[in-house]
Amino acid sequence: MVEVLLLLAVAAFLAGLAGSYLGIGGGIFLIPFMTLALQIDIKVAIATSLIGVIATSSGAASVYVRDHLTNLRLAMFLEVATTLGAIAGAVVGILVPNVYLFLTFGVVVLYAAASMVRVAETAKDRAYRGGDEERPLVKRLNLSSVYFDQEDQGVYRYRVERPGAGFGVSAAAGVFSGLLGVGGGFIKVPAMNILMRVPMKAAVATSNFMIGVTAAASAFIYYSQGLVNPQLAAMVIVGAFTGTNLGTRLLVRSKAANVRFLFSIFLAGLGIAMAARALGLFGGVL
Amino acid sequence: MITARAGLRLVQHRIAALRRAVLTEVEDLNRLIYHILRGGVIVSVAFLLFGFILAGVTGHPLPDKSIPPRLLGAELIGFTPAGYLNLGVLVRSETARTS
Repeated sequence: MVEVLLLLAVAAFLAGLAGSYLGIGGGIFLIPFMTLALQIDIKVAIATSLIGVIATSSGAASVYVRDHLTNLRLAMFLEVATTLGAIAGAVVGILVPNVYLFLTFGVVVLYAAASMVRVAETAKDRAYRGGDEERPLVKRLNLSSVYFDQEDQGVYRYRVERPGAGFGVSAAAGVFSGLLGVGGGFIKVPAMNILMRVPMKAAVATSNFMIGVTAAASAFIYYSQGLVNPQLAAMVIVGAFTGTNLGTRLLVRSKAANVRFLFSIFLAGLGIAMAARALGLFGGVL
Repeated sequence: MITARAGLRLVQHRIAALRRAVLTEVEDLNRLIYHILRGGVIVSVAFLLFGFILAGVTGHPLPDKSIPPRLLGAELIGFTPAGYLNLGVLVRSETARTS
């Protein structure tokens, strides 16, 4: 048992590091690791992973919120869609066969990966585009924001675009969150960055804040049903806490282009895994 | 007498400055959320470590199931590792919801 706890702490450290750097919860790594490598029951693994997602999110979000990287208004706006999507996820999971869902999301995720590699994000891209008229919804909700980038010591004001499309994609992220017990950051980050033109670091920070809120709602249900193993959860919390401390330091110092490149590699791998699962290859690794 | 008045003025200035600092701090939503999240992490990790130390000292087995919140009080009063590990996990998840 001690070996299992130590291995889990190391895995949670790596998930926390990757999660805080890429704006994801890390559940996408933790669940397969716990079920396949540690032979932990899937329901216990999902419950423990949700605690890990919360630990990663809270650890990272605290730093990003303090440094004003997180766009709180945008997070609250999109969180409404994600929560509705998570509720719909249960219904969709019953009505639509998983094969179509995985195939669709596999293609979408691969497209997002290609877009992130193809379109570079420079300081000029991040700068305020004063010529365009702000969308009424963006203006009314005051979604556009400003952040300080340590990469080039610049202060960037950015305008949020396509709020409707971002809302829709966030709902889709919620559907996946409800289906798989993951945070859905792998959908939210590209949605904010590509669709809504939110700078990469701000998208990562905002996603990190959101996934914790989504996961906390589900985690309490699992906790009340006695599915959370406190030993496993404790190791995940300690491991993720250490990992996020390192990940947040790395992100604020990193070049946005590098973060985008690493994220696109992660997305490409995930897209292939989803498509493979839909086509019945490799026995389903997700 | 002048010294006493200067002293009083200095205290008044300090109180006013402290009040301004507290108001600014509370008004700054970002800092408030930061303190809630960071505080939650520290308190949670402290409870978890305490739970593990209790298990080592008392020889109680570590729990493998979560305890319903209504039964948690008795476990905490009894200083069981299960109570403190569960409390640590609960504090962790509830902090995210509060923020």
